[in-house]
Amino acid sequence: MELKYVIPNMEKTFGNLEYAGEGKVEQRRINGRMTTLSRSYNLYSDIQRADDIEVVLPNEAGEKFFEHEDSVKLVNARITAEGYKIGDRGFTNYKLHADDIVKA
Amino acid sequence: MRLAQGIIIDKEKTFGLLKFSALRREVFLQNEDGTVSTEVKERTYDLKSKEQGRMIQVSIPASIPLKEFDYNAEVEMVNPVADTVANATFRGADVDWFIKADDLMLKGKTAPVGDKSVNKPADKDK
Repeated sequence: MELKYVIPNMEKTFGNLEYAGEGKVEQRRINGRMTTLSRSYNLYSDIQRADDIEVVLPNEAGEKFFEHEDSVKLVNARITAEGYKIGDRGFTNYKLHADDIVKA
Repeated sequence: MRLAQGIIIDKEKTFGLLKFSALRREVFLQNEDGTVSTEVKERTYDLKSKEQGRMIQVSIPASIPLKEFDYNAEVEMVNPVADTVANATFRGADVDWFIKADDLMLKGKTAPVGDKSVNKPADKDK
């Protein structure tokens, strides 16, 4: 079935989050001007140790500046899922969206 | 990213008010030769979710007896776990969410005292 998103219990799913660094910025040309749509940041989680955590913030949140390994927390986090395939097999790529990142 | 440790969901924020709709299907165990047995493995129910704005399906292990709530009875899932399955299509992959829970009960009612120990082991199986 489809779900719009799921809202994680941040404590149990991610534990403590640390800032790792900035990721990609998604931009699009609107009326001939480059406009930022979203920015992503990488975080470390002491529970989800496999990959780093990639969180996408909307443009309205502005740019974020933290020191490496600063403790942070997310505002209104939600998870969506996208599929990708390798060969004939499908895999899930989870995307974490949030309204803002603040210092914990 | 993969979230290898699974997602512990906040059921109130993710699903909001849940109303019981119907039993959707019973999944039967397979015999050793691959034929379908008469033993039920799990039951899937349709629930109306306010936050999702649609009907969601939740699977409950067969050790929990069949639930026959009234249509639109307000219900609550016990320890729901959400996971996904991805299927490769001709140009990419589709993702489907699924939800498993330990039990389904009417909202506001707590589990009977003796019930807890019976339900416990069914926690982490996928």
